[in-house]
Amino acid sequence: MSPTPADETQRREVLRDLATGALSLVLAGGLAAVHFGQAGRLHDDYGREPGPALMPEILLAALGVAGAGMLLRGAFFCWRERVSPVSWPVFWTGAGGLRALGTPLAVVALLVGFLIARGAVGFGLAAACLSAAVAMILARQEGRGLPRAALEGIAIAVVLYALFRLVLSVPLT
Amino acid sequence: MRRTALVATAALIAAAPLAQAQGFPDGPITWVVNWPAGGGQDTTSRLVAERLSAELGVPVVVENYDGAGGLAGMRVLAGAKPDGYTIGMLGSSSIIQQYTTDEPVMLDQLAVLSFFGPDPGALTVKADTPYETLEAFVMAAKEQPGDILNGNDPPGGASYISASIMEVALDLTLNKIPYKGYAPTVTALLGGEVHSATVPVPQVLEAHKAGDVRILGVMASERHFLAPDIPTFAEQGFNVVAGDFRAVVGPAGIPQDRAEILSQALVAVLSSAEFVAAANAAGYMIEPLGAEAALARIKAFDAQVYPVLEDAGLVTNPR
Amino acid sequence: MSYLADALIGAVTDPAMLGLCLFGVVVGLVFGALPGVSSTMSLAVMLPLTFGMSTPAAMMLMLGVFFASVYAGSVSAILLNIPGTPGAMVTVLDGNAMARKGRAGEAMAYALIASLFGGVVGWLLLVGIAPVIAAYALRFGSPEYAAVVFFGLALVSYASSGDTLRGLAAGTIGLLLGVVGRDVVTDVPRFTFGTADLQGGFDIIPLAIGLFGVAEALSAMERAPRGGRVQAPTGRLMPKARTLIAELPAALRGSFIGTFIGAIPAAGSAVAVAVAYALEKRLSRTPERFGTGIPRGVVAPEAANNACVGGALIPMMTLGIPGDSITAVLIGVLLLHGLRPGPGLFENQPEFIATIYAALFIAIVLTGLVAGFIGLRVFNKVLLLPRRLLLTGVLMLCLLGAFSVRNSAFDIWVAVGSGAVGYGLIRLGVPILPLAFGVVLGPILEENLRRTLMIHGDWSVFLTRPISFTLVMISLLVLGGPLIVRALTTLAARRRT
Repeated sequence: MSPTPADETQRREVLRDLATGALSLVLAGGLAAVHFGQAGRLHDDYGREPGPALMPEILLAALGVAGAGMLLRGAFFCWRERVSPVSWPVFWTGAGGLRALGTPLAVVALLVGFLIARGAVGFGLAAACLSAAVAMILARQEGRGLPRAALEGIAIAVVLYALFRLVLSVPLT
Repeated sequence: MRRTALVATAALIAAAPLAQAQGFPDGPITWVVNWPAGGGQDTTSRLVAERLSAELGVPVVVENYDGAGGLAGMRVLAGAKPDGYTIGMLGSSSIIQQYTTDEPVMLDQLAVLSFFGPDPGALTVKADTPYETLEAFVMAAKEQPGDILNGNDPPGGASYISASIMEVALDLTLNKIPYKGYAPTVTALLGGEVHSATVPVPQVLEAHKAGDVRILGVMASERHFLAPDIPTFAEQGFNVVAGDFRAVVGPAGIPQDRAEILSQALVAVLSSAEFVAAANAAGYMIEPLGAEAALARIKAFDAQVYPVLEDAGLVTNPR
Repeated sequence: MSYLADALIGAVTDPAMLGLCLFGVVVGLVFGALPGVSSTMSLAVMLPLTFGMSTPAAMMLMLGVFFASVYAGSVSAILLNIPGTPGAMVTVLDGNAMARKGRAGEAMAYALIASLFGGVVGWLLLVGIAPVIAAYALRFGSPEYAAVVFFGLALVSYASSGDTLRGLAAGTIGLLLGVVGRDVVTDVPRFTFGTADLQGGFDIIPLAIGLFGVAEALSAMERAPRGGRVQAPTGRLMPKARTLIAELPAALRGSFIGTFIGAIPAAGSAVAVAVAYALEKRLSRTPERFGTGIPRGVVAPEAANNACVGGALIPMMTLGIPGDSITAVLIGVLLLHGLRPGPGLFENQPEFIATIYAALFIAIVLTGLVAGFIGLRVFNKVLLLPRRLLLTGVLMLCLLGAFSVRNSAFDIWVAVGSGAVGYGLIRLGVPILPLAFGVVLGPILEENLRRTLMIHGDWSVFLTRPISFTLVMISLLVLGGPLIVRALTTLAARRRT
């Protein structure tokens, strides 16, 4: 069968169900291990009130149910339609495909780099570098000149930094 | 050769603080507040900072580091360079947190510079409760252990500790109901959700004057200046002294001469009649003490509070 | 009343007073529009200026900053998708969606008009029946509080459009985030992983800055649109009169919710806007349009947010209890001037109370004038920036704002982390609204629920107290109603065949 746009949307929803379901289950399981492994007063009996352990337990169960539900729903669809949820357009090139993730992921990496560099070189310098880099990535995407974008990025960082540091006297370090 | 170089460097390092101290302070001083802007810790800090700036002739900049129940700011303070240019306000909660939290800041990581003043606890009951006197309250609490609802902070908070100290000293059991701060506690008291509360005097003074609540006693060695008609616990035959306090500290390791300059300047500010009048008007009790006396006061609180925390099962970092 | 008239005339005819209030309003608008700079922080920055002033002058300045900064929280929410204050968290949803549809100008105008409307309603209730509302606030104990938050969550879960399972997953993740930190009732740490940074729990603002601001910016970076701008130009500024009138009931409901919830000490505007938004969504005949950029989604929370100002002043003026952290600063100002708010001041010094009321009214009017004639035009210019500069600026503002909330480096990590997570959720088609509501409402629900059980011993108390009974019943109807209706219709359909 030839992939139609409707087909692609449906497959993407199935893929989203499978991914969200699996992530929810992993999260619920991991946090449950932390929760039940915690020593101290967490699991004590508090008499008239249910204690601090009840709420997380209800929530973890609910998250587990939601995750399992999504996983089953996705798997059921694959079984009924006898298709793999992953196709090239869904996975890579389509509107929701992974190819579109390139720029956002690069920026997230830059943000993490900023967080690490901040400790070593200070907020101001790290922010200026980050700002220049992000502006350059976006300029490249738009097909514009990089050197100018870098300068603009630095200018933005300087103006905003000065605003928070000098006008609001936020101790940015 | 190397040895002489080392010795020379060591001498230089040793001499450096001395040389600088003559010009101390010659730059802005950062004042760390470990609670958000607008609270009692913040207001008192800004009151002092403004006058300390005039006394020392350099700017004193208040910075609020909120988070982790006050611990975030204490970590900033304890981790700062001990050059005298970073100081801050310390409250009783930071002493308690030594034993009850993860990654605590211990008292020996800090250098005490001066005492600011106490904020004694008080026992207040709703006006329509049958407890006309402290004695009646204590009798009732002993007859029906756990029946009297007492509103206070979450376990480990200042008013929780005051209530616990009272329970231990008078051998009675209250049903302690936690609220997130003084405002909701007082609301619960006024609304009748709890019968009593152990918040400081200024929080309930106006409601007391209006006849909505009754302050039965102050947990201090002398009466509160805002409510001179209310007797202390001791005057009524019950030996209970409890409550919050404030002190000014810096990171441990501030050179002796600089610490002295700061300490003297702080005591001078805290003793000035103009400051005391302003602080009293805002409801804060002032008791200026130098570094040593302040440390003794804090250590006394430390010794008083540890068994109470242990008793309540709150200690996670045993002494 | 004559005191109030005198105070109003006195303040209006005194250029020095008007100038002070104007200064406060301008400062409040600028600070409030910056993400992460809360009203509390703006007031604290101005606090030292008031030390040397007369008390009425100090209140004039502070109330100008207060009201203007509460309103201005909507600016970065609508234009940049960054909620800078808890009260603006809900405005982000429809406000920014409107902006993305090229209706930023209108969204800003709706926010301003609704804010002024809410401010005036809150002010009228404050002036008119403050003692009545204060008495009601005192009757609002832990069971009632738990019930109203449960009501809010029920409304959200019913009204949240889209897939039920994904909504449930998002909601529980939000509630779990709210659990992190030391439990208020027992002080036991939960999910802190032995670190000090997590034991105070997540601050909602860095989290929201990440989930909304950073995530949306990342999403906009996926591909370069034609034209080089993120959003279409701001469009018309003034909404049509007829559509404005249609929003009046929503604004009125939002204002009442804001005033009443604002009057409950320590409730805060986040709860008020959440309940106001959820209620409008439930009442709407087209709930699925909420979140896609409709004026009502801006009007209701903005009216509620600004009505909270008057609401929060009610317990402060009548009882001397701060309604929130902002009024705590105001009480601090009065204390430093030797005035102790409470029943005594309220009853014995009506002329002083009147000066405060007058100051708030003038602050509302000046905010409207300054924002309406200058602010909107200046703020909207932001959207004219080229895409690459705007997105870079948004990211920088997110980082700076997240840090500024508590001067905490940890909070930048939170903003970046929740930004990446939020972007992932957008990609996975998981709604963010239930997550955000879970973070705000979850901890309040749990705390009050457990405190109720500590005090009353069992669950029946929710049914024996009139306010909580009503709220619980309505919540159950909201949750179960659609199921019953569906069951009845299928039954009827079956009988017909």
